[in-house]
Amino acid sequence: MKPYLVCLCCLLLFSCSEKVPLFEKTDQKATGIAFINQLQETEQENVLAFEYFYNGGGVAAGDLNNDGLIDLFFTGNQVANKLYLNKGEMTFTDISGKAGVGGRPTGWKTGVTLADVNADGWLDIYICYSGLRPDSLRQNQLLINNHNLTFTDRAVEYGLADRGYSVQATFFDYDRDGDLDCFLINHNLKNYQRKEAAVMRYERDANAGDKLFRNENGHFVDVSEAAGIRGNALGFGLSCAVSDINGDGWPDIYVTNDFVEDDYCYINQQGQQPAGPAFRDELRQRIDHTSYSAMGADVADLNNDARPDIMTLDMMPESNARQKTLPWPDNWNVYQAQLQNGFWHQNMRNMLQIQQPNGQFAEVGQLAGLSATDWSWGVVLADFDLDGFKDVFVSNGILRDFTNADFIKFSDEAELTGRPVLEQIRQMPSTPTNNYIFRNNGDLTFTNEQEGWGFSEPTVSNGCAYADLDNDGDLDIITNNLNETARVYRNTSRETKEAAYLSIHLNGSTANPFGVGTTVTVDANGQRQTQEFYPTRGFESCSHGKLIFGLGPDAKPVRVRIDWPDGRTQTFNGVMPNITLPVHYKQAVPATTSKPVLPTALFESSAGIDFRHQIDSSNSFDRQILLPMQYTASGPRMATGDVNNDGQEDIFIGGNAKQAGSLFLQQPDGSFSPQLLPGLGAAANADAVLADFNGDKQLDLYVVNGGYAVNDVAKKQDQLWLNTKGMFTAKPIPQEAENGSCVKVIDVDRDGDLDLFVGGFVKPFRFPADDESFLLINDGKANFTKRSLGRLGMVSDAAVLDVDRDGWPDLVVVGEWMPVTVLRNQQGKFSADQQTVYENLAGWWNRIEKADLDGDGDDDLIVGNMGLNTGIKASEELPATLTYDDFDLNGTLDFFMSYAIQGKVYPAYSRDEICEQVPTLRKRFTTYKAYTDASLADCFDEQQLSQAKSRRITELRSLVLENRTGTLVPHSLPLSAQVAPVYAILANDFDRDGTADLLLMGNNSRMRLRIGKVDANHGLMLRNLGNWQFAEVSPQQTGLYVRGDVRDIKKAGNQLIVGMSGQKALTFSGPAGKQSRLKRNQ
Amino acid sequence: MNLLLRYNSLLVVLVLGLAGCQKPATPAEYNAKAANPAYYNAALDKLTQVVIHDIFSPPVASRIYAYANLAGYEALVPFDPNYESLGGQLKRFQSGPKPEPGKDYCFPLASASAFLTVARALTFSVDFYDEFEKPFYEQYKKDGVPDEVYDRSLAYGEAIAKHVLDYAAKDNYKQTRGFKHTVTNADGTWVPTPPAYMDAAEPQWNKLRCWAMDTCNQFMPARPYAYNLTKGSPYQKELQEVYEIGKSLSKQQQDIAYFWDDNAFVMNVAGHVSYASKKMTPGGHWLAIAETVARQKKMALMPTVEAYVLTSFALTDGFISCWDEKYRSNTVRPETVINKHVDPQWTPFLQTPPFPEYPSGHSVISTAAATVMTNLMGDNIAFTDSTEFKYGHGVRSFKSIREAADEASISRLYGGIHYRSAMTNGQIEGENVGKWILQKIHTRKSSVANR
Repeated sequence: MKPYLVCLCCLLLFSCSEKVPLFEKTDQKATGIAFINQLQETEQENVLAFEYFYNGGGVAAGDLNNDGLIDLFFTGNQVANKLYLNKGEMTFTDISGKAGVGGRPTGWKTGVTLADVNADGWLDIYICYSGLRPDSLRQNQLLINNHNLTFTDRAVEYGLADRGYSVQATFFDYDRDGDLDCFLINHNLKNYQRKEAAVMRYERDANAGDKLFRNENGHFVDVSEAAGIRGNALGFGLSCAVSDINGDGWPDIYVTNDFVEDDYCYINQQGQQPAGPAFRDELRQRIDHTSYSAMGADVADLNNDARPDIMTLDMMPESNARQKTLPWPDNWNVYQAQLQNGFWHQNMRNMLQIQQPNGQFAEVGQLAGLSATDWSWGVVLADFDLDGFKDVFVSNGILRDFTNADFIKFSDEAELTGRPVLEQIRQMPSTPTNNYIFRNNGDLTFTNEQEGWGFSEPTVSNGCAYADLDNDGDLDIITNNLNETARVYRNTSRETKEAAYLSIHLNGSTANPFGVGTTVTVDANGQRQTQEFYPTRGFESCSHGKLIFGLGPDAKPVRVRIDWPDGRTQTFNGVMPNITLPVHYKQAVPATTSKPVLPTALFESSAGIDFRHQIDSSNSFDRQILLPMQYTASGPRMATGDVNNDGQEDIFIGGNAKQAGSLFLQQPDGSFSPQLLPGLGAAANADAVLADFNGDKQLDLYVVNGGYAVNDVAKKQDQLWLNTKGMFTAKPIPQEAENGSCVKVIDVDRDGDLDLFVGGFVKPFRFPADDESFLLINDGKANFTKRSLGRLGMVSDAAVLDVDRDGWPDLVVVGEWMPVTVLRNQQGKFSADQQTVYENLAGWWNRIEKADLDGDGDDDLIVGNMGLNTGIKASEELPATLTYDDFDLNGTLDFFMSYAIQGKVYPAYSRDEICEQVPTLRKRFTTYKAYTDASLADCFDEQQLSQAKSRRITELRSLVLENRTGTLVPHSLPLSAQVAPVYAILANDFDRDGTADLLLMGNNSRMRLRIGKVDANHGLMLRNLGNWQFAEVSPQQTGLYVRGDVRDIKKAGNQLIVGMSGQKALTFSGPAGKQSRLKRNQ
Repeated sequence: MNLLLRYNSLLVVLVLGLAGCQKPATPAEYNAKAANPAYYNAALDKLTQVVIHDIFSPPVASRIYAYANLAGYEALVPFDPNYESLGGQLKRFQSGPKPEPGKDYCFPLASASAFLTVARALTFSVDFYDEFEKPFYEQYKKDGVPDEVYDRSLAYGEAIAKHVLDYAAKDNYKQTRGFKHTVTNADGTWVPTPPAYMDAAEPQWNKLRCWAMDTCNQFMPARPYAYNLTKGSPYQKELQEVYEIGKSLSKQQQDIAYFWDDNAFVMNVAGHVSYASKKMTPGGHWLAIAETVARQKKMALMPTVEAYVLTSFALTDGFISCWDEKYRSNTVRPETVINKHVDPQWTPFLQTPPFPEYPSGHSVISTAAATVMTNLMGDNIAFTDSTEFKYGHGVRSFKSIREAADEASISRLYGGIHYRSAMTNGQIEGENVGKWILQKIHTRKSSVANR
């Protein structure tokens, strides 16, 4: 062959392989895998009688005959289980009959796991049973491997013949005595859905409760109660994942629960308190919110920081059409009742919990793009494309869409005409959905690769597992499907991408031959990958293959560290890529216990201030049902200054309808003591400023009053107190009745005294109408004249700086649903035609702060936005919009938030919600189906819409704005700044390198439920690297761990004061006068 | 094709010819036929079907019935010298357009047309009417109403309907949309109830314009017992009674409770599967009883519609009065308290409807309706109510209308959704409302004498 021909062939091959998806669906005729989990719906057995009728079966992948090939086992709910022996080259033989693994013919089989329970070096099979069956048919089976591809059920003998409604078991060594113990999750038969049933959480139900069995010389003993395992009737355990979550060497368990019961995050206590219960549920200490109908889960390190992360699944569909036809209630009162009754924050979507260095988790599923994968069962986290980052596979599908709202509301009418509900359910079409697979981009974002990786086939898949079935070094995927053949997807990474792998073959101790619980760490390409060998993962399934690490292209020799479950360890340097590395427990050595050296933190938590902000719980949603968030729960903002001229900065913290604001004087020891302010009642103080208004060199106090729920004019009147030697006297100021949000000091007219800007926010009960902003011009003696600036938008904050460097201070105003707006000071005057409106920077701005970030001598800006960790999408091409008018002419403002879902803009509300706001829409949308694809143009006619007003958002990210000769140029911040809305900004040179660094805090726990609780910011410091680059400073270095809603940060001397919503104000003390401990190279 | 066409035209000509040959019916003849109350009843039943389909809450449903029947009545009244318009009697209501003097009308058709036009405007799933109206109106033509009279009558009904809808537009209904009741979680106050935990229905219903009452709180019932769980307190005793009765419900008590359930939207929940069972509202049920009794007594169209419209007012004012108190006292449902303090597993026999407990809506409105109906249709009329049979709720017979109301009232105790005093005090409230309607609204020109 001529050289050019070869080249051509190569090119052809290459271009062809480009189109080949990463995974190739195999043909059942070729593989021999023909298993179908076929369901028969009968009068006795159906989803109305047994609510987990469609939960499907599991799949287990593992080498059952020790021939080096991974065999496959499928459970069938009503049909017999199947075992397929791997004959090599992706061909399998069905040996179920001879093997004796079909299961009890009349039993309802669910989850399966593989483990060497009797420690003879051969994998055994544990099968769970559930269903509407008598106790005897629900006994779980332990199929002990007879070493000849036959198996014998010895569950009774081993003490593992549990009769609960079982879903899955997992075997691991919780007490670190060397052998494998067993944790079993069960569910109840009947769902109580009684949100006041918290009392039941402390009861025990033998059939519904989860169980822990301790392996005592080969016999398993139920130690659940003593070990602190919850076992109540509310538990609907659907998956359990084991991992050493807190990195103390003792395995922990994460359990997902369907319905109202919380998930459990059992932290193993044996390392710390050997005498107490083995486990403690620390969900609330560590996790801010969870999935509601939590189904599958997996725990693994997704961001290569050696800390396990958690992903849980729910039922949220991705497309607008399915979101609208399968809506879930967005009911604040119900949610509050759930919290009141002792249940945790839960929301209907997948959650991605990223572990922080302090062991708490930040939920970033929406930012990551993983939150909506429809009715999802199993999730596995593994590196499918061998690039060194674990990807995400989700199996999904529900046989019938019985949560279809039209069915819920209108099905009984068909019953009147003689079709019972069950009959209708049976005739309800099933909507198979594509399984989801996401590529890990390495920065906590993920790319949907359903198409690119070969999962564009709609199926109904339940259990899923991964394993290298053809021993080529990449992970294949197997799913157990309902009423259709099980699927095997062959991974072609090794063939089509030149990606290297490293496979680890664990040879464990005598009592644990497969080394379950071993952690393997691979250092490659500057990344540290870790995997823990806990094979039970996903949903009802088990992936008991070798651990495979992706080393990417151009792989070099790597370093491998093995940490065996008992702490023994061994390290291999210079391990070549593309091999299987066998490792042997026998060769490991006891670990040298070296305590990790923690960096000395910049700040440490101090006593705090005796001010506990109380949330005004009056519900804004009762007044305007479509509000995106609660507006009554605002504050506290704060003001600092030395009011008594003692050299110590003091602080004023704003109050609300529940409690008066308070002035705190800083004492020489750094503590704060309150000082009474006469005439300061319990009013909503939106903002305050301490400044000298009458030129007596003493700081006076101006307080902005207002609030969403404040209609009383007197309560909206701002207040001024003049300071004489620390005594404050109220001084009248011009009347105003605006709901102000912020106050800034500005010498508008450059006459040497301080004037004020007060920003106007939402008109009370009239969102999104805005109140006026105004100036108060000072005559030098604190006599003010009001000068209106008109309605500028829902202003939340402003900064005063000389943007155009003409010597006159300008105003940069930001707010919700408004563009960054610069009001240019024309020699002491502001006029509407001298505004620069940055339409490309229309945001959900909560805060603005100024600082010289590039050292060019002028002030730049930091603007706090909603961030990217919500379902809301906005761009210049597809802005989020807020359209409002009194459409039905009933005196109330109707507004509709819309934003893009999969590239088209739709109203963000269910049919019921928009119809409740504008009842005449019920005529247009008599069914949910009619509303499926409706945009606002389908709700109102052209004329109505052209008369309506609208606001929009084109940018959701928090940003820094460079002042480049009078023009504001946006620069992005690291993704960690976008995990939550920013409500508090402090710019300060924390590393003392001469440029201002940033501290950003915020969160919002009181958003509309469909938006959800956005709370992943646990106190973010960004170091200014210069040139508009910023880097996250680890919380270990900052010492700042702040959980909850922050509304302000202020610096008083060397202390940071954090204004918390609904909590006590926090203080952190810094390194008084010491040299910076924050080094650039850390 | 051509042949077929020609054949068809021939047929048309033939039919036209036949119709032409028929002797035209006189107004007296067609009006006598068209005044069959069964026509009006069919329209009423159709409205009930749509009300059920669209899932209107009981107060909202009562409002729809009242305006539809008001239109039906007002379009009928100019044609009967013994009856008078309600203009100037109902709050801020003036009489509507008059029929053209000297012109013939089919007044039952005008009335049905007025009724259906209002029904269509105030409900949502209008395709139900589209299907219904064509054969329905065809009946009047079959009864011999000439085209011209047919059109004029239909138009007159629509004009009355428009007049009533204009009146309806000013009753504050629109202004009360888009608000929710604030749940405070304070002890003894209402919170959402299982299994659907729906929002409280119609928290601002007392802002609606009253019909005959002067104010919404005109018949405010006695104060409910104060929430107090101390053993032996009046509240605790009533709570215990609900709990005990619920645990030992006899078959008969179950039948009674289920018969009067009238919960427009019962949510059946089985795990992630849920579906609603929908049925008549209490108001719809009482109008159906009125229909049954009127049919049994072979009442003519005018007194039948009179009974419907006055019963409707008893229902609407009953709901306004009752809802005013519900959100004033904001009383917690027995299910909530029993689950929290007595027995977490206890479930009431009926699903708790989504609004505060006191007083019992069924007690107020059933007694109000029965008071009006007894006055119009007579005391001690035995009847059998099978209207909810098709919803699977059985058939029951009563010695009198009032007996039915008493049973409707006590059924709520059996259902486990009310305390006893919500029934007794609710019945007093309802009776006051009913009496007030009779005293205030005069349908017959000599009605004072008649009563």
